[in-house]
Amino acid sequence: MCADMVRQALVSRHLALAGGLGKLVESVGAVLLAFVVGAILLIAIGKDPTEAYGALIDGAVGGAGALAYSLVVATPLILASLAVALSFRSGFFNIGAGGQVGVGAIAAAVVGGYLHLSGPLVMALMLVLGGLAGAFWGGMAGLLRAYTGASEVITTLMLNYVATLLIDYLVTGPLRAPGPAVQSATIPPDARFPILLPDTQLNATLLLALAAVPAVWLLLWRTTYGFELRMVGLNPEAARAAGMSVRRVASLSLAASGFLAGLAGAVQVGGILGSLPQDFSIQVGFDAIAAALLGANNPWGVLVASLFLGGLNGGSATMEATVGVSGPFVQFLEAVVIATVVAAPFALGAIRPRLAGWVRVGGEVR
Amino acid sequence: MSGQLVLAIAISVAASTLALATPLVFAAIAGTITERSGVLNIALEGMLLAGAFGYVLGTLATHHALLGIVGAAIGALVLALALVLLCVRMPVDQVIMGMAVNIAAAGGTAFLNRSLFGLGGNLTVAGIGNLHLPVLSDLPVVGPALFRESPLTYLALLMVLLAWLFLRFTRAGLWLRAIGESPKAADAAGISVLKIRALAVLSSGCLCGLGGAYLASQVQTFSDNMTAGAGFIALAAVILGRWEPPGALLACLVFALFQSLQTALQVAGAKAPYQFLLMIPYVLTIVVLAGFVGRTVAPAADGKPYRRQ
Repeated sequence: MCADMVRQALVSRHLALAGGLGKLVESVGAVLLAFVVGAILLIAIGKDPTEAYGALIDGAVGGAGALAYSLVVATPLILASLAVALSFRSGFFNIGAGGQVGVGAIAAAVVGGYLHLSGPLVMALMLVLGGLAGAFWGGMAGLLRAYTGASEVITTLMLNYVATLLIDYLVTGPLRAPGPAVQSATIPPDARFPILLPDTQLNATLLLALAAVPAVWLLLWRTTYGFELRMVGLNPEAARAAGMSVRRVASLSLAASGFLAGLAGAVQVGGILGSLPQDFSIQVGFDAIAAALLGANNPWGVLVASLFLGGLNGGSATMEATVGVSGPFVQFLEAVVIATVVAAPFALGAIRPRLAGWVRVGGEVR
Repeated sequence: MSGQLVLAIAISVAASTLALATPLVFAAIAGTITERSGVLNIALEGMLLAGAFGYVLGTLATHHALLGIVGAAIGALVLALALVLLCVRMPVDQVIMGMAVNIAAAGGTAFLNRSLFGLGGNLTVAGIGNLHLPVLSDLPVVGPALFRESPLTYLALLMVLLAWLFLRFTRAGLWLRAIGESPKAADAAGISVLKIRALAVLSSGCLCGLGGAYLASQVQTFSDNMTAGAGFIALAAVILGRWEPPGALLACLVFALFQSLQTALQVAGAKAPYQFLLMIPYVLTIVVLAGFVGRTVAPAADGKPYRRQ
């Protein structure tokens, strides 16, 4: 009996590891394929891919300054990717994390720039209210999905634009700070998150983002709520039959997802930008989709993927400056990564029966 | 304000409404056709962008605006083909693939634009002149308001009619609607689900290409992310138009009217927060989807990949 249970536990652990290995192979394969496709595109327009990728790597990890900048870019990305991964796990797709990032940024800009507080109190307020603003934005989509059936895909996408227009209204109107730059009031230095490495923008919010990784892991795998969330994501019918409230999962998972995305916005304003500019970019919401899928919606995988994509985005400036391959090239690579990761199981499914004869690992795990 | 000034403003608002609606109408018809076939096309935005870039490349290469339109269609078709391979041929999530296509289009066009033409942005290409419809354009008031637009505007309106006739009165249109509601039953009846979905996505590529060509031909250049959400407004119009071409047209015209009024207000120096006017399409879509105002019902198989058992 006892031995049986142990054996079962070992088997399931083995299967989980093999499954994880399969995902890892898929993710690494997707990245390699993206670089190959990218190289073909570069050659097509007469650029040297080794030079471009060399500059990209140099810009990402070549020296302390470059590494610090990559981490700065990765910080909000980690939070936003956790947000997207959490929603993907629940089966309710938060495609508009960018909108929640936007309202989180608004909240942080108001708290930091207009409350005239300083020290840890204002930093905590920026994070909490930024997160809550995001939770409100995402939770709205969640409640609408739960109680009216409105597709969260469409509503979160539409709310993206509502958020950017709201930012535009606020920073050109009520929040407009005096001066030539169209932005909100500058957050005073003693209200900004402390810098970890002198002469860089690397700040304490990185630690927050890193702490969020085990927190989301604990939420998903060590709480009843997380269990329900994952069950609903795997099979909503079965979860409902087991007495779980799919509505509750839909609203709460999108609110929790929005909270994380809102934090990302607060981190961008309070840690990096120091105010809310009119051209505040919500691109991180889209980068996060790539990072979540690349990390197989697993918090630790998402962390690695965010650091990696943060490096690519951080290094792209060097690539643009030295070899003239512009930054959006990295976005293109991300898209190839997304398509490959999602399509791989099906593309491989077609050839797997033939492979199964001589490769035994991972064949029937997923 | 004098009566003449009001009239002049009304005429310019009407004319710019038609102009602003044109790319939306192309994309909304594209979205209507694909969604009726059961493919949720989130990638309209990316296809418009690729179309705009294709127009600029085509016009630069050939010095003919007409061939630029062909380039636009090719640009958008490349993405449509990717969408067919990824989420029609394979039972893969259409939303995620659509987003991948959008991200690829935004990144790819901006990267190619900057790499080929530099960051300066002084690239100009030939545009497409407005067409003064004979007799009609000489009418007082309605002439300058409605009948002096780009030929692509009239083509967009024609497409609405054609799509409506196609969906309602042709056998292929019936098949397309059938696979959007119940692909299994349609398959059992001998209709090739995947082939028709593929054709629907490819035709949406052509239509979005025309929409993108219009955008680029109006400003005679390409700039990063120049579609600025038009594809998502079109997606909203598909929903508000209840998946019918005339409804989509109406929604596009209303959205375009808001945009046009916004511009008129700004030009007039009104201090009204125009951003709220621009939010209306997005908010309205959410309200309608939630069923607060009139219920909308999407095609039953919209967004669901089809796999033969």
